[in-house]
Amino acid sequence: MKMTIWHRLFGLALIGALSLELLGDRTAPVEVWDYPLFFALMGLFGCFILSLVAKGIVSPALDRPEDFYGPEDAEGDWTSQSPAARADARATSPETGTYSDVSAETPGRPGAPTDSSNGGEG
Amino acid sequence: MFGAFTPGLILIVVAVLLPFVPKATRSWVFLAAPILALLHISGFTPGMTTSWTLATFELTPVRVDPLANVFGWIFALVTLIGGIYAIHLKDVGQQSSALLYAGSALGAVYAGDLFTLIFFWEIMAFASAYLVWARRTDESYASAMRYLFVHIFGGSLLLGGILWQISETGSLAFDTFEPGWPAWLILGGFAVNAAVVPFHAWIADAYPRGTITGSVFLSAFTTKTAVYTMARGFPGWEILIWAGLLMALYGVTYAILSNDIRRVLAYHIVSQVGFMVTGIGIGTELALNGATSHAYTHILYKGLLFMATGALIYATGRSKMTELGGLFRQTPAIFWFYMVAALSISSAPFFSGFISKPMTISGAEYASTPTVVLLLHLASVGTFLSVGLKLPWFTWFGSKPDTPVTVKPIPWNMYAAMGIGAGLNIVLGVWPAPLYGILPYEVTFDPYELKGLKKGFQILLFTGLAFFLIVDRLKPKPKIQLDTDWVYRISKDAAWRFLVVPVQRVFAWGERASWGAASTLARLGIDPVSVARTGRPGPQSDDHRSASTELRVPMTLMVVISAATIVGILVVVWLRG
Repeated sequence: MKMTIWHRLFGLALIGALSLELLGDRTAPVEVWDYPLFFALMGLFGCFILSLVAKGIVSPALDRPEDFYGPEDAEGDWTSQSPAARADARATSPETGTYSDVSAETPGRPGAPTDSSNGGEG
Repeated sequence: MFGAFTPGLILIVVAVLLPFVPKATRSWVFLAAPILALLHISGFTPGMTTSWTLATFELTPVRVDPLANVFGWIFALVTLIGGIYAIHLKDVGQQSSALLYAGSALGAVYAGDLFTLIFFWEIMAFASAYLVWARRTDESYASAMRYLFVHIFGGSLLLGGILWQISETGSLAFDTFEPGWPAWLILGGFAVNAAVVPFHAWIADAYPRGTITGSVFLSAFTTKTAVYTMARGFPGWEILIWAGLLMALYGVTYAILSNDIRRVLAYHIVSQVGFMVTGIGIGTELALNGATSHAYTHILYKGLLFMATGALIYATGRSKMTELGGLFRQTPAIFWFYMVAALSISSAPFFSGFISKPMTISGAEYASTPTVVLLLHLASVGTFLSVGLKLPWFTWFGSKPDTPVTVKPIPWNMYAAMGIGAGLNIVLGVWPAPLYGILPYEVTFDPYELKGLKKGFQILLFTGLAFFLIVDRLKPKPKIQLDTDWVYRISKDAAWRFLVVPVQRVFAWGERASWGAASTLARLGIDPVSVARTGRPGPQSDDHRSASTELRVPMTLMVVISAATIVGILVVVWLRG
């Protein structure tokens, strides 16, 4: 990996953060977070632990395809049909029937377009 | 200047009048509402109240004290910033509902009684749902319905608790609650709005699906109003410490995995509100100051995060990290505004979060167990990892997506609002005195002690080091993660079959029976004399133009009314006899 100015600056910042341990009065630690370098180690290993839990345990167990709840639930792009066109589409949609038209199928939104919009943002 | 009425009323009145204002000036009239509200709040002095008598109850629509004022100031301020961000918007529905939402949130925080509280609480639910629905897609419609479903459930818990509380105490006063069933129900209602796990999934479901401007408002009010009500009613309840910790860690874990940039932020609302709930559970003056100040700064930086991500979505038309990447050169200003907010939420020194979140953790150090403190620090690491590193890295840097991203310019007002938000986050970070001066208790905490600086710099920089060591493993995936909303989303079919279909069948039977009865009565009414003579009704006729039709209705009515009168008289006689 090529060493850039950003790598050097980041390295200096790490050394600067560690050197803060040299400043201030030295008192006997009372709690675990009073020990030198505690917060550096917390940052380093905390990141590893959380990544391991998220990617190693939660992700394999709970990851699902984006259309898991149905294709209409997957979030589409924001650039398609204008809100006015959507309103027109909705206005021409069929109305629901009477109670006698009861169906065991789960209800959908009649006439609603299947793509997404940008919510009046222009 | 205006007398002691709730500042929320100003916003609500403007929300109602807004549709009648010419389109060209509507956005500017919108801005007048929070400015007037800020002026109104500036005239408030602690101890000011307004009381009315309703039947035998004492209502207090306005109660001004330091706790309410902290939330009042920031709610009005963020409404103003959000209004600037939305100046380009030409959707009066969104504009009115945003003002109604903000106004009802203000009404709730200044409510001195439970009736006023639930009144504004319910308006908030409906006004905020509109901001999700207003994107007008199938997914946002369904999401808004689920959002309403959850909030009506929470509102029902709250209403049930309030009614129970009134029946037990005879008082509507909204103060600290004593443990008991009514208090638990009320806490449950607050917990739903605060997104306490497992009642939190609505937030990750709805906020990424809201409109670009709507989600800025959504990020500010619902959860923070709930934080206020918890701080008012339940300080020192130990269960809140553990509920808050669970939220803090649960939120960051899901945020690490989320692909949609606004879903990452939504999960981080759960996490950050977790810090506040923990502070309320600890209940000391330091911890309550920490929770309150953290709510204040959180509204500022979370609003900025949603503004920056919203601006990016506006510019690119994309919201997933897997479809973004390498955008720094095209959207540098949005990146820097985002980073100000990201460093604020991560409690980086000299940014707003640094003056509030460590105060809550310090409250835990003094009054709670080491486990609580360590887990709060761990959640802080997760915050920087996902919001401060992963999201910006894979959005503005990292590899470009297969499909090239087209970037369109964003309106000037979006830059202005983000600039104001970023400025406030930095000013508050380096000069916390104005916020510390309005907190409920005297502030003894100094974030810029050496210990605080050491903690802030070391945690952030070494989290950064770890991130770059494992960056490839953290690459986002085009997946969703199951959450607790799975329970009510997957059971939708079963609920439809077992709850809705039987009810509809009953209605369908009732519909057929009533039509049948009406038809029979009509046939009887065609020729009652013939019916009396033959004992059979006349033939069914579809000829609505027949002469007898004119007689059907009055004759049928006469028969029905007569029969009902006779039956009524018989019943009365039987009951008296």
